[in-house]
Order: sequence, then structure tokens, then C-alpha cells
Amino acid sequence: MSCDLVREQLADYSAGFLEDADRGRVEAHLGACDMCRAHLAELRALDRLMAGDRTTAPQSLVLRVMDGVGPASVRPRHAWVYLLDDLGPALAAMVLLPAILLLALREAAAWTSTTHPLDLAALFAQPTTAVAATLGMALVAGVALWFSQQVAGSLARI
Amino acid sequence: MSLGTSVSTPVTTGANGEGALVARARGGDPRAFEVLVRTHKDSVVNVARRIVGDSDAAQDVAQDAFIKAYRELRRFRGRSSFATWMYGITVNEARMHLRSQRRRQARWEKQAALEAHPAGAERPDASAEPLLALLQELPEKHRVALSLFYLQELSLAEIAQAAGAPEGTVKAWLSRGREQLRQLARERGLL
Repeated sequence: MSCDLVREQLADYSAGFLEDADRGRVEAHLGACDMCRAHLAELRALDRLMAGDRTTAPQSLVLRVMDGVGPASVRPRHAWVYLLDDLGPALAAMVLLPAILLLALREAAAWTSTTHPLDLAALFAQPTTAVAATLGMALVAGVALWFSQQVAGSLARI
Repeated sequence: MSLGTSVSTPVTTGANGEGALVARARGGDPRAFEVLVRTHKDSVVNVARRIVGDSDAAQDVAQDAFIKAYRELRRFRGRSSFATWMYGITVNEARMHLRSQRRRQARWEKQAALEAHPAGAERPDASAEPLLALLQELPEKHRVALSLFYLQELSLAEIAQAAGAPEGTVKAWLSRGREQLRQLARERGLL
């Protein structure tokens, strides 16, 4: 393994990001190469310097935050408000998507010359409309799944 | 709300204690949120400080981040720790701060040119802190990843979550960022 290749991996090595095989190869090289060991020592020294360069936030920050939070925004909220917050977008999607799908099916019905928008047999008789209908139904199924997860998540939180 | 309210209810800030605090804060208990702020303020300020390169500005960023977090608490699902979620908000606030700083800088340079002052003559001094100054020479994305990395408390997955990028990308940012930083530190005699 060349020094260039090892040095490309030294940052990942010292951070513990390398897989076992790569780590073994780097360690074998380090055992025999003073230059790469010096490079690694510099990286570690840098990490110690950077991690040690910390500041302590003053207590006044807490006061500023709590002042900024303000009493108006801390009014307790009822569980149903959270539920509505969570489910608002999902409800909108559940109403809009089937409506869009129905409109699309009507157009497809006109195109396939069937009399009813939900004449699925006619719809699936043609490859193009069959693909479109399948995608549309998958989309609605996906939204329904998402909606049920939102409901479950919301109920778990309130 | 009175400033500097003390926390009357004994609380713990371990994993379960923190979950209870978040639930109480979400329910409108500002004292619970105050405990969260006290617990995480140092780490949040340090992340912001390394990204924006200035300790005073970092406190403003941290303040905005905590206030935003309080207002967005209902969106916190508990899929990550509160700290990781909070760092994500801090990174976004720090990026917004840098954007507005760049806009101010551009306006200032334009004004200086109009008034025939040599560009940079009245520009605020670069950070007097050499390590912070080094970080500011890196691309913003590398700086964000390193700011989270040097907290020394986050896994790669958590750093990626807070930075809002895939793990592999963040790993590459960290690798390149640390190598660039090593070279810069060497050039400046800091190593």
C-alpha cells in the first residue's frame, strides 16, 4: 500500500470510520512508515486542539432564550390541536389525491371509449392506461399508508 | 414570564428524563424547556461558534435556534435524541446567519467602492482566535461537519442527520476537511 493511498485514509482511520480490512492494511503500513505515522500524529494533535477549543455559554443566554420564548407561545395546547397539526397535510392529501385520480380515470375512460370511469377491465386492456392506473393506485395506497402512520404517530405522542 | 426562573421540579436529563422534559415543554411548560436550554447551551454555542467563526454571533445563533426549537417542538418525533435535533436546527440557523452576513458584506463592499475607500479598510477584524480562523478558511459544508464532529459526542449517523446530508457525503466532508485543516494548521505553525 503506497503512502499516498494510506494518507487518503488516515483521517477516516483516526476517526474509526474504516472497515476492518482497510484498517488492517493501514495499520500494517503505519508499522513500517515513519512519515505516515508522523502524519497521523499531526491529525490526532489537530483533533485534540480543535476539540479542546470550546467555550462556555453564559447564563445570560438562558435568560435571553426564555425571554424570547415569551408567555404568548407557551399556552398549553389541547391534544386535538396537535392531532390537527399533524394530520392537516395528510388529510388534504387524502382528499386531493383520490380526486385527481378520479379525474385522471375519467380522462382515461374517455380515451378508451368506455362509459364508466371505473371500468377497470377496459382501463387495463390497454398498456398505457393500465400503467397509469397502476401508478395512480400505488400513489393512493402510499398516501393511505403514510396517513395511517401519521395517525399512529400522533396518537402515540398525545 | 419572569427571567431566570428557577426550576422548581427536580428533573433528570438522562435519556428518559430528557424525553419527559421534551413532553412537558411541548405541553407548554417553559420551565422544562429552560432545563433543556441549560443542558445543551454549551454544545449548541460551540457548534454555532465553529460554523460562524465568532463567539458573540454564535450566541445570537444559539438564541435563535433555541427559540425556533421551542416553537417547533411539536414536530420533534423523538426519532433522534433531542440534542441531535437541536444541532440540526443550530446548523440551519448558522447557515442563515452566514447568508445574511455575506449579503451585508456585499452591500458594505459596494458602498466602500462608491465612497472610494480601499476595499477591506474598515472590514471587521478576522477572528482573533487562531483555530476558529482556520476553520473559516474551509468550505461551509466541511465546517458544518467538523463543528459537529469536534463535539466528540455524535456518531457519524447523527452528524449526517444534523448536517442534513447522507452519511457517505458527510464522511467525505470530514475526511477532506480534517486534512485541509491539518495542512493549514501546519502552515500557520499551530502543529
